[in-house]
Amino acid sequence: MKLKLISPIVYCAGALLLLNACSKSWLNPAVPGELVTTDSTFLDPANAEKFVNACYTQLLTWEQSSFSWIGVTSITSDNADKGSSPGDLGTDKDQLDNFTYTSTTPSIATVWKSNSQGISRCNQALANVPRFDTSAALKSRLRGEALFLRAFYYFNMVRTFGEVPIVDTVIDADNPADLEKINDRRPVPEVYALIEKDLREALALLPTREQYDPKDLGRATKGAAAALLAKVSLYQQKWNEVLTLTDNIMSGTYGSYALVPDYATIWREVGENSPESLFEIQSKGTVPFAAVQQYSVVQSIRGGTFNDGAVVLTGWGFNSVSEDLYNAYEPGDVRRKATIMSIGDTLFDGVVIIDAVNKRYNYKAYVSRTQESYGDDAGKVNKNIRILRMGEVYLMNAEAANELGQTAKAQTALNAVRQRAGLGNTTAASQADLRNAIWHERRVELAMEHDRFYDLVRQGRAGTVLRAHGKNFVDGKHEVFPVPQSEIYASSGKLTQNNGY
Amino acid sequence: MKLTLVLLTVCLQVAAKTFSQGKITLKMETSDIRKVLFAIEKKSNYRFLFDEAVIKGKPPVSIDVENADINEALSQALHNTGIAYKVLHTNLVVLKEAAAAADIQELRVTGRVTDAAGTPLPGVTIAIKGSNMGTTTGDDGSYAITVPDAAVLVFSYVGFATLEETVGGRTSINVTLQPSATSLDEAVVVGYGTLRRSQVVGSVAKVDGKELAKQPVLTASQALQGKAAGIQIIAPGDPGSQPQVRIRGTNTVSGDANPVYVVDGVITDNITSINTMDIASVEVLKDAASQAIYGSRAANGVILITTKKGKTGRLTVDLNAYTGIRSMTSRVKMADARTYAQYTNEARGYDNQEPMFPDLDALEYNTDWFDEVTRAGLLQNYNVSMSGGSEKTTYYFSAGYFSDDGIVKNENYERANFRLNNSYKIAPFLEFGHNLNMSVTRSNNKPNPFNDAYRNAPTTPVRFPNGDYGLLDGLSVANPVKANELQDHTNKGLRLQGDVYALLKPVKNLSIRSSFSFNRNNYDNLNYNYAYDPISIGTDNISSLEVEDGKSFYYNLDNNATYHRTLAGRHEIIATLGYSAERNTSNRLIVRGNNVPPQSNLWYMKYADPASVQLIENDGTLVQRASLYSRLTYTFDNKYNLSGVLRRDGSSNFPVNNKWGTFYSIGGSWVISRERFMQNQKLFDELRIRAGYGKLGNDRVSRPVANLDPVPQLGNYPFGGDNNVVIGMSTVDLRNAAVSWEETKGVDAGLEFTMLRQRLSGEVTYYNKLSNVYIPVTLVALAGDNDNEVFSRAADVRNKGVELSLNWNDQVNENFSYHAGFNVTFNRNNVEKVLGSLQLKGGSLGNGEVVTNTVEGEEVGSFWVYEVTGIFKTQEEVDATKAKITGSKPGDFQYRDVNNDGVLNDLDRVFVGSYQPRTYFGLNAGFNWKQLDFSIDCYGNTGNKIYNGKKAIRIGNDNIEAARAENRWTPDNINGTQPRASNTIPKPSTYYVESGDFFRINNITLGYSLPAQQWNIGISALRVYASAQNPFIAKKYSGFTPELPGLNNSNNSLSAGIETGIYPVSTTYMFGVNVSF
Repeated sequence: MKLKLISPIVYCAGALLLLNACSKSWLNPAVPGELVTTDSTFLDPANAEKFVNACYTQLLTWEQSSFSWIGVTSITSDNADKGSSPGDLGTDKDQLDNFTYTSTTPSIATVWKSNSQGISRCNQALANVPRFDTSAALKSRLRGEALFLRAFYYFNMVRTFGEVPIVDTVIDADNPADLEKINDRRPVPEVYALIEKDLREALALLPTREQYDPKDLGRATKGAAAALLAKVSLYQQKWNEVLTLTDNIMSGTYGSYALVPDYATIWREVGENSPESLFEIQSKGTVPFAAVQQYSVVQSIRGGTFNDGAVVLTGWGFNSVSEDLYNAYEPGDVRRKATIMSIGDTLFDGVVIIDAVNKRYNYKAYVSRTQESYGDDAGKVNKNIRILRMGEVYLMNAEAANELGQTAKAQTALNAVRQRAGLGNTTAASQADLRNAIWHERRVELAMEHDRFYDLVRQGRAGTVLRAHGKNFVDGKHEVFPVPQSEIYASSGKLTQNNGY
Repeated sequence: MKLTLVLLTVCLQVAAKTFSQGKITLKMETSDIRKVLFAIEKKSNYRFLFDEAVIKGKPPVSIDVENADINEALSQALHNTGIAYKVLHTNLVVLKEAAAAADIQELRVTGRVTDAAGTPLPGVTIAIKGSNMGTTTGDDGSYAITVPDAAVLVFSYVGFATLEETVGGRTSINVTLQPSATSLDEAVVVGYGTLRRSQVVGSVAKVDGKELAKQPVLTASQALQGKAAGIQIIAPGDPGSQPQVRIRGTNTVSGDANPVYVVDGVITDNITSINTMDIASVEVLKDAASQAIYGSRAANGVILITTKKGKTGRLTVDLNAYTGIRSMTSRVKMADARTYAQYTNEARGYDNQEPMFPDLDALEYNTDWFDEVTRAGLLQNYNVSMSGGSEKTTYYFSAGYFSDDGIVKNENYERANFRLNNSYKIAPFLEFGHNLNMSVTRSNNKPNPFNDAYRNAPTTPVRFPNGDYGLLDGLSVANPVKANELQDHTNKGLRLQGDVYALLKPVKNLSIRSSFSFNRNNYDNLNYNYAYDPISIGTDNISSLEVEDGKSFYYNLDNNATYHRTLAGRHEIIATLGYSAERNTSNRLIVRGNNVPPQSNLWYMKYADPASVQLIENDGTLVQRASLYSRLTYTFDNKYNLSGVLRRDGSSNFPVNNKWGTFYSIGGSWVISRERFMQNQKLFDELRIRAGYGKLGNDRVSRPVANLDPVPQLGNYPFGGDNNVVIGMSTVDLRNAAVSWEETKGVDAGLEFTMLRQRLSGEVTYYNKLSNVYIPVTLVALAGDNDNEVFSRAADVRNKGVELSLNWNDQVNENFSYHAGFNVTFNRNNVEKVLGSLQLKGGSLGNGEVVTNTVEGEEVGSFWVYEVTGIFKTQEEVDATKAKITGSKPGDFQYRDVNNDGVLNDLDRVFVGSYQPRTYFGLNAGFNWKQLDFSIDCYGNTGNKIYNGKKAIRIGNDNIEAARAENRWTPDNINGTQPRASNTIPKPSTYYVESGDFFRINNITLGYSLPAQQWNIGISALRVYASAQNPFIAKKYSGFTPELPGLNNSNNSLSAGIETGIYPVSTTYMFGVNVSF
């Protein structure tokens, strides 16, 4: 009896001991949702595209495209005020509005970090896509997309901060050369050179929008690369390049694009991915959500009263439209009503704004809860952010032509934009007048589209214009934002600071 | 509650009875003999001595006497019972069967009591067994007592074994008392076994379960506060949570600094499921030598919890119940409506903004938001346990219910517990057993209202007359009452934990133990938000429902063998060798939907707008570990001990080549008092020294360290006009390829003694440990890491200190005993090394400011702030000061330009201490006097700092503390001691750093044990008590509580001691009853 009992117990205990001890896999389990090694990732060709998708998903983040970005690019400008209620500073939006920001202002650090993350994801995609066993055609398209997006992120970096480190490979933290590189701010022309190189290659590799499968609508196209290259050239006053590229875009060399007839529809759901659009951030406000985090809600009407039964996407009321912009429109310009929601206005979906905390809001960020797709989540709405569109292509064409002395050509392009806005032809004829007319046209055509501040700096008149607007702009300092102090710390002081900060 | 009050009333009535001498007046009809005898005892000096057998089965009796003498009374009472009695002249009445009564003789016994050396012992208690009569010895150890000839004398004396002597007709009885089994022989649980205290080479604090059960708290760890040196407990305020525990300082920077708990062998980090009433003892392993046996989990200390087991013998039933009221211990006085309005107008004026309250006389409301969100909450606990056993089996069963309403309106936490600890001796060589615990919890949580209550404007009503919730435009603070009423968060949990074991002793001296221990936790959370926006500005009226369903399962298969043998009578060897395999998995599912009807019976996704239903998360975790461990203890002559531990641990948390770590300890101890040369000294009863050294590992490192996810998925993106939602994946976490175990090495040396006949015991310990820990090394964003951090084992943190504890315990006579204890810990935390010039900033207030930094030469999480030197009185002063914050105005703080470079920046920030106390201490005292018992426990710490974060966060236009508004700088009061009214985000400064010193009375309990004989329903013990938990605190800090587990209750050492929206500690007054059958 006793023996009978002992032996199985001893046997069991012993067996369990051996079983576990011998099982090497015990310490190498397949952890839920995690790939055991990086290498196994590369066995599935479908993952190649996912590496590039990650370059896009960064565009939907709060950090990349939302509150901080709105603050740095728009609230700083004369087109917008901080908005919201006076006491609600939105962390630091008052500092951005008044040019009292410093190197520790959080929004600025967010813009730096988010675009850096975008660049890193592109570098990962560029390094990893070739490792997959998939078609050469797909690989080259994916490479083109990643190059386009890297250029996009770098363009944000260079026009916001000036000199930035050039990181065009995946960083190996054990490699001293790489660690030098990430802390070494390079001259602005070098950064632009990288951007141009990337865009030229992307232009060669990318398909046109017609060549894409419909399911890929929204990916970077040849047209997008050309337009961004034109814009990058514009910032460097490479007028010939700008003119050639925009001419080619307008003539359909990179796909068929055109000014859509109704300006008001450009930023609405019906205007998504229209022929007007060369590149836009795709946002989906229904389940499963894939939306720009809170882009609309931070700019939506704050504390409003509306007509009975109105269903309205209300929000925080930041980035309200300035009186200056409101007054900048010529009489009869349809773009004013399409850009600005004012108290008393009836919106396209029937909502009447009877009262609100602020007088004017950004209509381009407005989403109708009744007339457009809405998934009951104010933080995730169907609002594609238009990045590059034909209105700007025409104006770049006009500006380049004017700078090159081709006045008639410049007037033609400018008038095309004015015509759509319900305005007559420009009366400006001299190069200087025409330049001012084009700059003014850019302001109203592209209002609230995150370009105004950079435009003013590029045009060399930021100080004049913004000081006239009552802002505390210091020449030689505020053309670029400070390198975030947190980044300087992280570099152990190797990253240098911009002048004046 | 009702039960308690009734019992208390009874108790008071009994106690109020008066006492009369000699003559007896008593009327009782058909009562139990015992009750009658008890009544006579109450009314006279007579005491009865009898065998239970004598009165057993006797019929009820009646008595009706007035001013009768004892003979008359007893003749009547014992009439026809067959019981005879004899009244001895010491007023002792001996009862016997009538037939044997004639044999009762009265004897005068004399004698002398000495110790083994022949020294007379004065004050020895000599009691006649079965009665409560007796005497004590005189200075020369002699005594005299008159007793019945068949009596048994009980000799008892502190520090000596109790001795019983049957008189048996002798008239002279000299006795020699032997020292009692000493505390050195007390069994101490040390992990995978027990040792005698004399054999323990490390620092182990033991606290008896009885001490813990006294306190009305959820977890045993909270009850440990102040009970032992070296253990800092930071109590939580919110119901259902457990405190933060630091054993000998904070070892880690980025990881979890809490110790692990081992409940009957089950390793866990959460003991909220364990009923304190079920705990037999708690042992805290404080140093490397004792922790090493749990080497892979022990770096922050180990708390071993042993639950109660049944004992062979009769069935014992214990009932415990208490109920009480909790309320907020300390409050912060906020500005009233007028002060607030004036202040806000001023602040806005400085910013060239319109006044918010143009007419200060038109203010309609003056809301105290704290009053609106808090209440006195009910606390209840009911517990029943049954235990007993036979030769073959023992059993312990308990069921308990605990309910804590907390101090926030509409909150509640409930827990029901069931425990079954059984053992079965199948054969002399084989035992099976199990310790099983089930806990069912349910909590209704509300959003923490304290932050919003602090900030919200007193000028705003809770509700406007039209019924709308009050809100002030321009102030981004939610109405906390609205948040409370319009959010329902329900968490339900079911947790099963325990172990099943077999213990086999196949041959002499060898025992093999196999156990399977497990911990299964199922929970579901349901969050319902009614159609509202917390800071509603508009009409965003969508209700939402989020349900989370999660489970985790942990098991540990453990096999070990222990060989215990004593050779040649003097060489004792205990060798343990074992192997364990652990697996810990968890998974969860979170789904969200909108437009769910507000009726709680419809809170299912089924009733949500189908288009809105989305999967938020469905993921899991898995960790597996394997360990080989061994311990060898050698004791020579019961005096010299050597003990060593060696173990190898593997963890799946680390990369392929770095999975295994080796940990060890070695230590020795010497019982000096057992040496021959100590035999003649009188000073020490026991004296022992010990020392140990060990190395421990920790794999509970932050997730980014152990992250096995090289290519995570990174969100969705919609292509194809929203028809093709794709996922992204990339490498966004840079990983240090050399990641492996975090290590702590340390020494510990101590001296333990007992003196003065074991009435005084004490311990002094020195410790010094160094932890090489992971820290987030910040990289520039372009390095590509998503959160700009790579974890690297790049910091060394040292904790060294001295612990001292003294306990006095004395039994003065049979009616009175008392005790007093004191323990204190002096700890010094220091960051020895931070690789490179990396800066570990923490304590982000969420307004762009961080307030702690961790650098070499400072404590972990030191406050790092500008030093306030004064307040700018005039514009001239502002203009004349070069180094100032941009935009400084008169009335703003002036800060010290530490490096005199004319610029005020981070280089001018100074370190002003951290939340870690330099000293913490506990004081305990109590006495038992007759049926009364009293105890008091205190706890405190000194030498730490607190950052008043709630005060330092200003969103703009929020309320301020009354003290901040008073005597503030204004153009008319340029000498104000407080800065001007301002809506600017304040800079981190010494103004917000306050002393963390405090002293608190943890618990005061007064109990009364009713004489058990009074009851004839089988009650063997009955005690009622009243208790106050946290009735008093002395603190310098101006906030709610100096006990701050971490920013937002997180367990982050870098943000410890910052008060923002803390759930304040509360005071409880309660009544309770303990009954045993």
